[in-house]
Amino acid sequence: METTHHTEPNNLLAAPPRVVNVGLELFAVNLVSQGAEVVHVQWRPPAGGISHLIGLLEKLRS
Amino acid sequence: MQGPRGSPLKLTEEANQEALRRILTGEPILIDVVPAAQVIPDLADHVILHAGPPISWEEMCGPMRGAVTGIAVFEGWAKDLDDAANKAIVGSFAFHPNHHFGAVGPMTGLTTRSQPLIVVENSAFGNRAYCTINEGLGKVMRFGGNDAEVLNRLRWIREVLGPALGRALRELGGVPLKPLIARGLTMGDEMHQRNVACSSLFLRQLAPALARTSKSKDELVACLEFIGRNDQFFLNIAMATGKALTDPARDLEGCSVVTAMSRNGTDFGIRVSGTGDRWFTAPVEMPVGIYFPGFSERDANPDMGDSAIVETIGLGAFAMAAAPAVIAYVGAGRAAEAAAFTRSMAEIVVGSNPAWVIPALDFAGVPTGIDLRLVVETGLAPTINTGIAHREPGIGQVGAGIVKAPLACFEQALVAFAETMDIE
Repeated sequence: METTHHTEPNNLLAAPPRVVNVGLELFAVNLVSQGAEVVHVQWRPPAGGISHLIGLLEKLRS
Repeated sequence: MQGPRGSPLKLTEEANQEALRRILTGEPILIDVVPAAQVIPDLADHVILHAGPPISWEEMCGPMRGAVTGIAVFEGWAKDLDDAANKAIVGSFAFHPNHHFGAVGPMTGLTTRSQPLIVVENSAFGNRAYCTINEGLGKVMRFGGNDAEVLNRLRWIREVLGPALGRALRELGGVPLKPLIARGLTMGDEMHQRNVACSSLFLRQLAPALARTSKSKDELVACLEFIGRNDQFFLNIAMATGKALTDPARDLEGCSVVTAMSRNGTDFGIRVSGTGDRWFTAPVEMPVGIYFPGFSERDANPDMGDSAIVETIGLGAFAMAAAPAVIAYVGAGRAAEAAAFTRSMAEIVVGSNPAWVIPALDFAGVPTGIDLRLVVETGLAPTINTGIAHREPGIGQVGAGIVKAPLACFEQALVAFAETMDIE
């Protein structure tokens, strides 16, 4: 059986982390406070996650 | 879902583009200043127009009550403030929103029959909008002030300044406001909490006509001094401009553009083109900002005024990137963050205004035409730059800040808007 060498995990841990954080900003703030390089993406569920409003928006966009 | 009228998306996109076209092609011109009853015949004795959605005396906040009692004395409907309050309690006054009569007013925003009103005509559509004359900062009626100093200033505005401005404007043939605002944006104004440039540009344009039509040297000096020392003089003109530009975009079938945002110190209300003149309201929020020396957030009243009409046409907090100086005044962060406010608001609008551009954003137009659907979808509430009134009647302005429109207004409006499209 042929052996496959996976080098990516080692490389990932060898270099300083570069992080894209989506949603909850607290995670990004904590990483930044520890010196990590973080790009924060402001995101929240559409219509605050309220299913009735999401349904109306979908129908209005049909 | 496609009903008998076809695709809801297509109907709304076309209606919204039409609303944007009407707002962008409006031509607001300040043509006159006249007594309120002359242009709003419904302003009989004991009728008081106020800022925001409809409200009763019982529901009114402290500064709104303070202004009501003050204006009742000013109009001669009560002998003093206590008498005015007693008359209000027994229902002697009829209260209606300014917006129901083609008018707007800052903060408490009271409009009564003898006050002089700015007349802005939208010459592209033939409609007119009205607003009172700005009284200055500090202890003034729009912030709930109501003592002798406040009432005497209002009397001088009614008897001297208003008529003088009217004569000068008629002699000039009016002042086109679109180019004036465009220039103000390039000079650091956002037309809500910073009107330094536009007030100065307006005075520069008006002064010769004011001199030519003035009844005396003393009157001329007093008028020039009053306007010249009031950095917010242009605010009320900008507000009437907002009303004049948004009114032609009302009542378009399938249109999800917000045509008014307004607060009465108790509730925040919005109107949407496709749902006609119906108000959608929610409790108004407390501004976050900076307080004048001696005051703090403990003194603050919840947000007030029709002035958020300027945000509906892309000014105020929507144009924050044009006015880095104002971000410090309202305590909203560092100057470098001003652009983020404008970029954020650009995510909830139909388009931008090529006539009103912001140099610091590579001359991008101000974000214009708030789309109800985008507000609900993104959860990005419109931001408003605002003054802060003391919560007690009779004191006046205590600070300035920013406030978010409550999302609940937009969520209610979305449900009603969908119903107009037979969507449930």
